[in-house]
Amino acid sequence: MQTIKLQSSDNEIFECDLAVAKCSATIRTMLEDLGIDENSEDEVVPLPNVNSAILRKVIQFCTYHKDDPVPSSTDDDENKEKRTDDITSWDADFLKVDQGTLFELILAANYLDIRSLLDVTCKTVANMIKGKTPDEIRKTFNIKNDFTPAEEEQVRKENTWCEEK
Amino acid sequence: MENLPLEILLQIFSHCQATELLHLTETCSYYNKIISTRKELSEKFTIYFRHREDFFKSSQNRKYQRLTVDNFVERIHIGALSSIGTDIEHLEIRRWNWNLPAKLFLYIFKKCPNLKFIRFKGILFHYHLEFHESVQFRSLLDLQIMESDSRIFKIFQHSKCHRLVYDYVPTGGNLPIPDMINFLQAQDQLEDLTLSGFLAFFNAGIGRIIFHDSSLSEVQFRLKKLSIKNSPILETIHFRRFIDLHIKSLKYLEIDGTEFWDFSDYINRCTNLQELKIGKKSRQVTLSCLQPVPTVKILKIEGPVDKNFLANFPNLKTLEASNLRTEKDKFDEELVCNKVEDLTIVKTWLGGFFKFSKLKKLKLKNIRVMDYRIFDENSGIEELIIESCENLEILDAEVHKKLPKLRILKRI
Repeated sequence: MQTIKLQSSDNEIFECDLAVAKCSATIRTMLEDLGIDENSEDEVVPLPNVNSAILRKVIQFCTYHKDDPVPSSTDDDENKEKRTDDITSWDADFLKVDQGTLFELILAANYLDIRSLLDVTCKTVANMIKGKTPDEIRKTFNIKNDFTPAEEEQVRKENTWCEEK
Repeated sequence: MENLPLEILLQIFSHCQATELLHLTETCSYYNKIISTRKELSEKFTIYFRHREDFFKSSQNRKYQRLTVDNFVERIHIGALSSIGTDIEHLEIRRWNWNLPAKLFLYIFKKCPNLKFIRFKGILFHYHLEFHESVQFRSLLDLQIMESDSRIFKIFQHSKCHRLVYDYVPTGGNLPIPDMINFLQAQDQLEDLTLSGFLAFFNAGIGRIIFHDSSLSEVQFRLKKLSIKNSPILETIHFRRFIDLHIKSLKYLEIDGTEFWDFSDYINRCTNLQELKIGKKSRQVTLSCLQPVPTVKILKIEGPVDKNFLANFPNLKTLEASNLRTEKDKFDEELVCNKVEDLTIVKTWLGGFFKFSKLKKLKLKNIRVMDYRIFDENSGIEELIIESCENLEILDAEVHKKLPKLRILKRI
């Protein structure tokens, strides 16, 4: 089985299956465009935006999902109602991490262009927002309320319509 | 989360539903800005505008005049409406979720006091809903309310329009009609009125609601056009009193599906009536005591017509008649009308004679059987139009021989 070496931002080297690494569209493109020889044992792909802790998680995710069917063209799901309740239990367990790690995973998924990971992490955040009041959302995500009282009142007033049955 | 790049925030927000998005707009100004300016997000909690692009484009400069709302979604963000300018003159709303609050409906109108054209279709309200407020539209011209709840009239009770089209549906509410009647009684600017769909009332106690006699008879009404379609029960709310008030100014009258009414009396008293249209559902019973109406110049009629009937219209210039007779009808009397210049015949068995000595224009539509002798009697025809007449062979040479004055021969 072919393997490839990935180097995290803190210079840790991870050896993993080529098929696993290719879950990342960014790595796939690097291998193709930059002409990195897939057969070369010594070639290392540098990933300066991902630290070792996160890269370990990403590889774990990709190893588990490497045989998943490739989702059909992205055009269709634009029209589909996005669901957030379809996270598998393995993914849910996998994402039982602190908020900082979760956001780092999102950033890594985005940088490495791993669509399935990006989707499931964003859904997880969306689920954390669900059912919370604006104030609870602020507390959860440490968002600073920068509205003036008048502005806040205005936004709140506009929104009351949606709450009314 | 604040440090996440925009593209990621958009990814996360794309998984959120209306309620969460609205809560997010309340958390900080940055999220508020992102969510309310991104169409793909804000549309989740916005009224669905049919020409959404038009709406968003124009709502930025607040100088647009038309607003079409195609289907109110369950949850609505009034913020989208807050950018509506007072410039809007034309509003169309189709389908309204009857669970939505009445004040949202009112809000739209309060925002647009300069409306000129309003069209509703399929606006139904909750059974218990009552409007307690109205909006005064000073420049209202045209109000079309189709398949909608009559309680909607409450909003307009202090407004006057020039044209009203109302298609009634029996819906909830205890007494749904008074709002409409109150509105109608105050319409001294009304010139054109179409009422339809009064087939049955929702409420059995409807007999108590009637047009009342009042000082209204002193008001100068201007109604020129009146159309009543598929509304046999209008009679039961004494609608005739309303007609009585307007009868002098009426120039155009259209009736169809008014099964229990005899309109003869009205037509006899219409001193200015110029155009009369009678549909096939009113033909048999509505005109039993008709007297000559010399003012009528245009008549459109569906159903059998005989010599005696046409004699009531001595100054008729234009006649459009359909289903005049079928092959089963045995009468072969001539139809004579000496002043008709323009005749359109639709779906009629043309085996008999039409003797219209002044006839200049003849249009045949959906005719299957024709007798060439019709041309013998009407040789002055200058224009002949043959439309949708399958299997009807009319030879050009033959026609020109029979009609020496023919200038125009059109086949459609």
